[in-house]
Order: sequence, then structure tokens, then C-alpha cells
Amino acid sequence: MTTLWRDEAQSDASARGPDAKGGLPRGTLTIWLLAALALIYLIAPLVELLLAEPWSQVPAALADPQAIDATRVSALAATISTVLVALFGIPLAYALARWRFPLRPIVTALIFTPLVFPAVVSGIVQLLLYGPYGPIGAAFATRGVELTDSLAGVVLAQTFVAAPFAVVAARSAFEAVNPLTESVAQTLGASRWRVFWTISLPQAWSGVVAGLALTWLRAFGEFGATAVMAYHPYTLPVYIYVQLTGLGTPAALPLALVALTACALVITAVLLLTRRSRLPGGLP
Amino acid sequence: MSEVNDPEALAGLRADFTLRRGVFRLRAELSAPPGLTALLGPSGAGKSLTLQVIAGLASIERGTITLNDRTLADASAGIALPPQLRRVGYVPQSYALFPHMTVAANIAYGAPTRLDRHARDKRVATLLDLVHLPGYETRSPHNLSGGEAQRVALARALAAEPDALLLDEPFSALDALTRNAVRTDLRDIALASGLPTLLVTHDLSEALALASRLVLVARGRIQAHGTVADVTERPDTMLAARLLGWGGVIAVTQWAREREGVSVTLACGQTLRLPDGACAQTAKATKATNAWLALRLERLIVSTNADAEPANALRVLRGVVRSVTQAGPFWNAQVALDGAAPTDAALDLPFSAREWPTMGLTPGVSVTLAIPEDAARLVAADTEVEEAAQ
Repeated sequence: MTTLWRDEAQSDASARGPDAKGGLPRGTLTIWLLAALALIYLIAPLVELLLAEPWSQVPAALADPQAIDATRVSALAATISTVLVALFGIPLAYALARWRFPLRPIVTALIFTPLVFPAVVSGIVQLLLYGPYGPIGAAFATRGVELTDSLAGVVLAQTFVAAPFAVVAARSAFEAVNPLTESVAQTLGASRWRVFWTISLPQAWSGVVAGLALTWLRAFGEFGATAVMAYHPYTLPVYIYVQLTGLGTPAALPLALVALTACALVITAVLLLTRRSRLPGGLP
Repeated sequence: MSEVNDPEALAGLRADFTLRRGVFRLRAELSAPPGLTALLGPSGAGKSLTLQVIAGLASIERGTITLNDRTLADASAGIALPPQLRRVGYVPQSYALFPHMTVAANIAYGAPTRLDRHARDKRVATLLDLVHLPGYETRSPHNLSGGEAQRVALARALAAEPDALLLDEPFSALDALTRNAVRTDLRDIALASGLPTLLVTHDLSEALALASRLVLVARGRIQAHGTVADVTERPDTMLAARLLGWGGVIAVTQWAREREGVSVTLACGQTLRLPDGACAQTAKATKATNAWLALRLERLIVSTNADAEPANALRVLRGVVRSVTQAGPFWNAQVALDGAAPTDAALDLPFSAREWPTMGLTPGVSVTLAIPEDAARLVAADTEVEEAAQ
């Protein structure tokens, strides 16, 4: 890296004038400063959280059965959501990346709908559909299945809001796969199914996993849509909000730490998964 | 194959089809018996698309494709085998190695599933030996040179035990030194496989160096096909002549059949007499004004002594050296024919550095060009032939 800067500085020295001699070129310095400020802005709240954390109260807060339940609900629902997104979203992403069909640009734009909606609005539109008086919710309700204020409701809300992350990331990853590798695999005797599993997916793997990880994290942290669709059972974000409004920040801070730890664990797992993954015929 | 009386009748690849891609129309009619057949033509001629069609990666509108005794596609019967059932080895221009697999896994990908792991490993090793890359099993495609990647791609295609090989511009991604080194290798491997091999190239010298048969394709249609000698020595159209290295193409104002051969009058006013065999059927079928004279410039016998009567006075053109140029070991003299308009293109005669000093060619010097029998051909203008084919 340093070599790069020096080369640039040398080749541009005459154009920059005598004042640029010696230190870093002015442009590089500006970029560094702006990047550093952005980084500080992003990290500052985390640092403040760790500093303000009432560490002595953390064990007690973690033992709170309601907190444990809320964490379990969030993690379970986020995992189910992610599995659903993987099951249906990855084929959708592949179709959008590879197939040419009418209205493809419109379908692509529609994927972003949940990102465009404010989270609360996402909750409201789903309530209209899945609520006890909505067309789908009523059908389930007559069979004794509640789609709101239940784990199913949490999953529905999370999936809707979080799915675009996986679909968009996976679509880009599939688009980056050289289509000729798929064609050649076919001429070597592989069925379309085998080509997908052994050629397309492995090459798109890290993008797909990154997308699913974002989906899980977004689902785990989902608040707006969940609060509208399924206030109960409490998810961790909803429970944090309840504690915050009822008892103030000291009660909410230990829970925030729990949420952060869970996210950090998932990110670590994903990093390991994409780096060390061994796929069929994979390279070491 | 020995039971068959005439193996040529059944063996090999036959394609006769048309297709449309937007405004581009492709009509191909070709056959590739065992051995190397070059599909030669300029960029955008439809060469690569022809390979994709045969491999089953693009569909046809009309026609049939057969390989040995199997029908790969028959538009009228609604048959179109998917690529995985065609048993056609396809090596694209960029090789398209699977980047997430080792060299061994790349090659083993298409190996028959009946082989167990041990047999597969053995087959991979055998193929790596064949392409002169022993011990490359655990390498990553990212760490291969262009020539190595090409040979791995070839081994991968052969591992699937195909009935035919399709090679798309196999040398275009290689530098000149590597290209010469792998050319012979590739030819030997393809010939040893005994498979009908169709090799796409835009380079005439490459086609001549490798193939025994030639299919000339341009503007979405086959212009000529047959053995290399047949195709290169007897072009039918102006376009074919140009693509096959006939350097000079001169406008003809009229021609007439005589007792011994054909008398041709050029636009510049000079006349010459050609043997009957030097007159393409297509030219005979067309109007005189739509015929052109194609010359193999490197075969012309050049002399500066304008007064001396050359050995064959019937086939002589006279002109003046307009300019001379040098490019590396080659010299060229641009000769304007006597009577030609100043705007007419000069004949660009090539000379080796060895013969050049003895020629005495400088601008302004008058020359006579004696034309051997195999160096001139009367061909038809392209539009005429294409209209007749519609």
C-alpha cells in the first residue's frame, strides 16, 4: 500500500507543485480523514455502550426469564425466517440472475418493496392480510391457527422485512458466475439440477451466505413490523423497548449487550463458514 | 467401425440448420468426419454460434444435426437433445474452467459415473499425462498459465468420452510463443482421439496448419467447405477469395469463352486468357460485369524487364511500382496496373527479405506480372451468389 502511494506521489509530483513534496498527496489525506470520521461515527455508540454498561447488573439481567424467552423467540424466529428465505429466495435470486422473462425488471424492482416500506407500514400491510379479519388470516383462524400475536406472526413479519437482503445479495452473486461454466458443465453430462448444486451455487456461495447472514441479523433485530404483527410473544427488540419505556436505560442496557453478542456470534460463524467451506471438489 | 463398409458415410458430425438471433440469421451446412475440420471466418460470421448450436446450447429453427448414427436435433421432428445427452465435448474460447475446483476435480467432473473413485483418479492422471501436465491434480485453475488452462479444458472435455470435439478459438487467449508450442500438441491430441473435431478460428494460417478440412463461414452462411486444398485453391466468390488469402481482386468488364479457355478483359483495359478450370461455376452463371479476377499475389512471377516477352504471354499483366514498404522480414511492392484509374487499389505484391535485393523494385519501375495457371481465378461478386441462394 505504501508503495502505491509513493509511486502516485512521485508521478504526480510535478503536477501538484512543490508544496506536495514530502508528505502524503493531498487527495489521499482527505480520503483518509473522511474515512476515519465515518468509522468513528459508526463505532462511537458501541464504545459508549460498553463504557456505560452497568456490568454488575448484567448477570441478574441475563437470568431474567423474560429476557431469556425473548432472546429464544427472536433467535428461533430469525432462524426459521432465514431457512424460509433460503428455500424460496435463492431460487428466486437464481431465476432473476439467469432467466430472461417478461416483466423481469418489474419483478426485480418489486423485491425491494419491503426495503422501501417503513417497518411499521410493513407490519400494517401484513396485518391486513394475515390478521384475524384478513383473507389469509381468517382462513387460518377458522382452523385454530393464529397468524398474529404468535411465533408464526413473528416469523411472517421478520421474513417479509428481511428477505430482500438475501435475494439481492444472492442475485448479484449468481450474476457474477460465468454462465459458460454452467454451459460447459452441461455438455459434460450434468443435468440442470446437478449444474446448480455443483457449479452455480458453490461459485455464488460466499455471496449467498452473506445475504442469508444479513437476513438473519435483520430478522433478529426486527422491531417495527414485529411490534405491529406480533407484540406477543416478546422478541428481544420488543422486550428491550418494553424495558426501556417502563424502567429506563439501565434496564435496557444489559439486554442490548445480549443482542450485540448474538449478532457478533452469527457474524463470526458466517466468516468461518465462507472462509473454510469445503464444497464438492472444492479447493482447500 | 470396421464393420461399416464406408465409414465416411456414417461417421462424423453433420449439421444443416438455420436459426435467427434478432436480426442475425445463420444458415450452416457442414460435415466434420473424424479428424480436424477448421471453421474459418471473420468475427461475427456465426462461427461460435454454430458450435453452441451443435453443443445444444442454442436452439435451431429448421434443419437437423446428426453425430455418427445419432440425431442430436431435428427441428421438423421436434427433437432437440439437451446438452448433457449429446456427448459433444465443448471447449469455449475462455476455457471456462470451474474456478472453485482443483484441476483434478475439473477433469473428473465429466468422467462417466460408472467409474469408482480409484478409476476416476487413474483416468484423471492418464489425461493429465496426455496433455503434458502430469502432477497438476491439486492445482487451482487460478494458478495456471493460458496454455495450461487450455490443456486442462481439453482434458476435461475428453474425460467425458465425447463423440465429437468442439474447440472455439483455442489459441486466441495465448501469446504468440505459447500458441506455436501448443498448436502441434492440440492437433496431435485431437487426431489421436479419433474424434470429429471442429475448430473455430479467424486465422487462415492457423486453419491451414491444423486442419485437413475447411469450412469457410461469413455473413451467417457457409461460403465453401471441403478439403483444405479444394477450398483454398478454388474459391467461388470474391469474399471467399479474400478470406482465403487471394490478395488481389480486380474488376472485370467482360469475359468470353473461347476455344481454349476464357478471355477476360479487366476494368483497366488489359486482357488475359485463363484456362477453363480457372473459371468458378458461380462466375459462369453470373453476368459478365459481376465477375471478378482473383489473384494469388505471392505466386506471380515478377520481372522488371518490360520489353522481354515472358514465357506465357497469354497471362501477363503490366504495371508500374507505385511504392514499396517493409514490415519485419517482408517487403511489399504496390503495383498499379497500366490503364488503371489512380483511385484503383494497387496490387500489394509480397517478397521475402532474401529475394527482395535481387528484384530491383523502386517506385516508378515498370514491371510485368506473369500469372501461373494456379494463381488466377474468375469469381462471382458476392451479392449475385447470395441472391441466387435465397
